[in-house]
Amino acid sequence: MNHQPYRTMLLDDKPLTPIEKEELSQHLASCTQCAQLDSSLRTLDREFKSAAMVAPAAGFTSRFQASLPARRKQHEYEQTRIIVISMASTAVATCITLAGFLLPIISPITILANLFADLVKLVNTISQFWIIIGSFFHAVPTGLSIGIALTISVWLSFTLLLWGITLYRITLKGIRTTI
Amino acid sequence: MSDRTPEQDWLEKARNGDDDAFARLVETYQTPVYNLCYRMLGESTAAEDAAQETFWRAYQNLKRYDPSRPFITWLLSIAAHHCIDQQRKRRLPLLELDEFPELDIADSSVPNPEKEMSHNQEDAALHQLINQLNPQDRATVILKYWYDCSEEEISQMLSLTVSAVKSRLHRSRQQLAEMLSSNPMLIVNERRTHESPAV
Repeated sequence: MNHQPYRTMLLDDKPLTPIEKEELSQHLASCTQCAQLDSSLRTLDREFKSAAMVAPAAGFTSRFQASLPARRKQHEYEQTRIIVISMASTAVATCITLAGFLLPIISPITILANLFADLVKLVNTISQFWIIIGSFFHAVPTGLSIGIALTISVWLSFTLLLWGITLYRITLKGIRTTI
Repeated sequence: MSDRTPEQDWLEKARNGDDDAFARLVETYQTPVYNLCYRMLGESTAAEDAAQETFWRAYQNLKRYDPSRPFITWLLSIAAHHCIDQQRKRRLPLLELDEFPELDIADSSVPNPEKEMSHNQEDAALHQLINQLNPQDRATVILKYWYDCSEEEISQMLSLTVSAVKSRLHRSRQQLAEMLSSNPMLIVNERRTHESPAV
């Protein structure tokens, strides 16, 4: 006996044509195996239909609202952690890559010596720069030098303020605000 | 007069950052979302956590919600994916027939210990049955039989093809029917029909 078409009819749970219904009914009357499957599926459907929708315990919405500040904080903390870890990983990867390129060519002692020499050169350059700036301010009229100094100070303060706000937002508000 | 439903108004307000409007959405949809989580995870504490997480994810991604789709479908999709992930992370122990979960049935009628016991038996039996399915099959069965979702809707919610949903439903029904026929203890409804009514 070929059960497969009848099993498919039962398991697919689709509307049957009158002819299919008749064929299925005749088969079920003579086949205990498929009749058992039909009975189990009917019981299953009854079980599903009689099962109630389960509601959460009272105060679900209040609990959600109460959890919002903590969830937001956790979300911001995770975002900050992600950006810090990404930056640190990038820095470490860059160092490792540089080391991989430089170490076979130059010895670590030479790198350190070069770094020290560059540092000394940088300090000398800064001192010379200050001397040039000092000479410039002595040469120009007093009013102009005050104006230049004020402009530079204002722009520097503005840049520092923007930098501070950015750091504050990254630290306390996270990288991206969702709502 | 505006044709907008209150839900659309709440959604619009919530998308503009109104937390109270979102709270109204939570109030409206808490039961279907919680029920899906409860049926998926089989335990009230885990279901509460999963339902709360579902609403938090919806809250976070509200701007990505496509208003052409029903909001409940979107919520159930988030809940189903979250529960499937939870199930994959940790396989929950199966409920034994003598471990009846404490339920808060939405329709709390007159107290009737015998009826309540019978309901709990049915629920435990049903949990024991569907917990045997793999998480994605379980989600498919729950969305089909508790939420009357069409195969197309289920396929959208679970990111599956329609034919995959059909094949999962076919396989799940077969598996459930075989378990049911091999374990007569699970057929509590039939037993209940032969019980004398509680007075």
